[in-house]
Amino acid sequence: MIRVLLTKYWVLAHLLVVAGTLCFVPQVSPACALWAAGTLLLFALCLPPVFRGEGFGMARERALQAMRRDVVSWAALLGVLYVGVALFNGPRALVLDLSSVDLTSLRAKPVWTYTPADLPFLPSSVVLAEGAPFFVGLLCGLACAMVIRSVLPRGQRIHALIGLGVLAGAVAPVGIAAAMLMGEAPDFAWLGGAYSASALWLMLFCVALGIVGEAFLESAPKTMAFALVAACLCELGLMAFAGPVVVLVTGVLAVIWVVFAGIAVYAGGRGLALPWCVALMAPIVVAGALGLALAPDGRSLTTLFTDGSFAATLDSFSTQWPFRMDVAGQVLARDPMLGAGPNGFAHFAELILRTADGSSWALWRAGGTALPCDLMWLLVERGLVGGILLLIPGFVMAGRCVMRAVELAQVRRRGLSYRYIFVFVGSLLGVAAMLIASLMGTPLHVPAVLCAFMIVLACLAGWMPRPH
Amino acid sequence: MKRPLQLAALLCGCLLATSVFAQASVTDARKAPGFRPAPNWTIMPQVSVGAFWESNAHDTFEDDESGSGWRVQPSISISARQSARTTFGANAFYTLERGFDSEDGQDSDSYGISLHYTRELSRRFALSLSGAWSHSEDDRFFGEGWDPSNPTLSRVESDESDNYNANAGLSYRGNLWSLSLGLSWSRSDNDEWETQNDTYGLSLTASRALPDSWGVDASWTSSASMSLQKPDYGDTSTSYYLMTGFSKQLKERLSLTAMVGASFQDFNGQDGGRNDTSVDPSYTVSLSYLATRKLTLALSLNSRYESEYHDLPGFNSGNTYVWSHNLTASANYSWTDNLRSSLNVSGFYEEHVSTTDSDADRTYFQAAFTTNYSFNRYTSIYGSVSWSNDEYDYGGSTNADDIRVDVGLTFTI
Repeated sequence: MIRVLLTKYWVLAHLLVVAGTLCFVPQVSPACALWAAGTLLLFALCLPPVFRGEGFGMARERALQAMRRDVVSWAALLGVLYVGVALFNGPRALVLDLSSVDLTSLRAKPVWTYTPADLPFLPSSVVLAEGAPFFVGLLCGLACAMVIRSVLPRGQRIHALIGLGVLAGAVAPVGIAAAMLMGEAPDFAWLGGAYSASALWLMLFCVALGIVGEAFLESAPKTMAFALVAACLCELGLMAFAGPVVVLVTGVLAVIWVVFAGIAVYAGGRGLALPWCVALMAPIVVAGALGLALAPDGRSLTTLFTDGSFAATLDSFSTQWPFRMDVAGQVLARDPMLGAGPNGFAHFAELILRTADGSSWALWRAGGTALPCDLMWLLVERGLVGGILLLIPGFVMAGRCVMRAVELAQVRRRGLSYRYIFVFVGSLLGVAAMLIASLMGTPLHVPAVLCAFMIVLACLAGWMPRPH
Repeated sequence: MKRPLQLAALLCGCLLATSVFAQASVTDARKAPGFRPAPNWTIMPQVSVGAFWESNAHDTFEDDESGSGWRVQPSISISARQSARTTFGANAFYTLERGFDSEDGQDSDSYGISLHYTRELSRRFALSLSGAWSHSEDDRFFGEGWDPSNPTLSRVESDESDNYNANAGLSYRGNLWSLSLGLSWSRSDNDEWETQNDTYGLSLTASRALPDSWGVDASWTSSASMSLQKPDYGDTSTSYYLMTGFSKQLKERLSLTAMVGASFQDFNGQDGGRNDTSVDPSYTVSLSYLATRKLTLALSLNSRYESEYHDLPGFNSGNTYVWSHNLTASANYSWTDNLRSSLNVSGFYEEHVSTTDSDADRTYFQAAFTTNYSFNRYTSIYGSVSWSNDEYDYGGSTNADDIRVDVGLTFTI
């Protein structure tokens, strides 16, 4: 048992510990994140999974060569370094610009500004500690992604995704239990709030359903069972705590799954169809119904869209989103290269709005300091240089996937292996759902969500069809 | 005023070509970078992130102040080979420079797009079309507040301009003769002064291989071109150039072209006043030498005589001609498959001949050393050091030196 753990599953277990810790621990310091990422990479090099027929030495050599050749990960490391520098370059104090003070004019508004950082040519922070969560998520996510791309075989990647789904989904029953005890829904602050938690669950729900489909087709009952557990836990959280639109999307996905399961069972010819249908459909349906029934605010499907809160939310979003994008553009224009630093939108937006009219202030106060768009938040905080360094690996990976798809399109269909195609579709749906959610919120700035997203993204290319 | 911009563009082109060439040759045995959505299409997005430092950020003649900042340049190029005879290419770029310190005055935005299309109409005839537009902000040259009688004032004010050009060419290649006909149009819009200057051109070049009986393996080349400059405030000038010379492949790796001729300037003043004509010499010499597998040398000398305008309404004190002698030289060396360097030297000497005011001379010299190292087909690192000197002699003398250092990373997606 110990021998198997050390030779096969040590790195996988370590990866799940790192990712799972972020899902449950409210705050992880940058030093802890550095230690976790460092040890994960170290064990990936020292105790990599040993394939059949190879020794430890060969496995280590294989892991080392794969890590060296992984261009995307090394490019992402530049982004991590850029983000990390900001943790040391600051703080910056809010001061009054005395030259703007005009005692002879009552209408003149004095201008406040932040002192420059010690190293003005490097990214900086107004408050040093505010940059820690994103750095933690990015560092842990990068370490997990490097390990997955370089060391873990595809079979273990599936186990990693299932484990991640179970760990993230386990937050849902804990939240429901806490809501029952305290009488009100938990705020999921360590997961960035209910919206970010919902985005995480939705992504992993899609991935888990894809794995269930794949496991069913490959007759792997244990994998199928665990993936179903992960999917059910995520669906439980979505139905209990997510907003109306996410609940609707989850419901649609569940219906599609039920239909697909029915077709797959009858087309597969797996003996008695009814038990298989029950095994595949029932857990998803039951989890959805259970989530709605146990929702802390006593809502139901009929009241989700009709109780007025949905309309109010939609109206608020339609006014707040364009207003905040405009303010974010002005904040970015102050320092387009390096950005305003962690939480820079909150700090600098108020400086800009001091000279604005009353209606802008009213909108600002109504919406708090939030900037509901991950991409814009990234640009405002990190600037163009940081945005390029952080997004380039993603674009390269997407480009590689597109190029491989183009090459595959030119190969005859019967020459391709479509193994893992359902995992690919599920992962693609999950990534798309997360990216759409990031346009209306900031889930990718939460450490646990960012780490999970990078893990799913790192696995994605491995599920594409391959020539035989 | 535009010469340094042209020289800077040439150097940037050499830098980019070095980077692209470095990446291309590195990946000879592997796939070239970029997307290939179809067999004959290539899309290559590229972004360059770096920092720069200048010793004389405000281009002053004394009390130099240094400046530094970040530079980001995204670009994308699209190339397509629709058939063996037809090629299409497009390129777009945006250069964003921001100083570390807001008082550095290093902020500038430049962007542009270019297109080109070539088609072999038959075995002997070929058609080429090209067009380009660019917006540039150059904080070096004549701007508001610059006073020739008091040149110590900073002339750092942004001089924004939009430049357009379009070219069409038809060429014929026979066994002995080669002919080419070219049409061109260019426009320069100076945003600062809201002036516009159009130039129309027509050229005809003929080349014939010399008979073998002469014992000289070379080609005789002659060209005739006409250029019409029409600024928006009415003073037009027409220039005619007649050049003749030869081009020869001295060895397998050495080629030489030398041409001499004359230029005729006809200046038509506004409302019929201040007319003038002038006849002056011109020459062109160019040489390229592939010294070794790793070293390539190139040299070009030419002179032109043309009318010049001060693009300031009401400031035109008289006819002014410019006789410019231009030199560009480059040496490219490949240390390894991944590491390449280039040294580019360029300069010009301009003699500004005025019919009413005193003459003035201008000497501009620029040298740039660039090194590029490719980690792989996605990433390369570059570094460059350039030195420029701009001396203007109008009776008194002014001299501005500038050293610029650039380092950065280039990502090809």
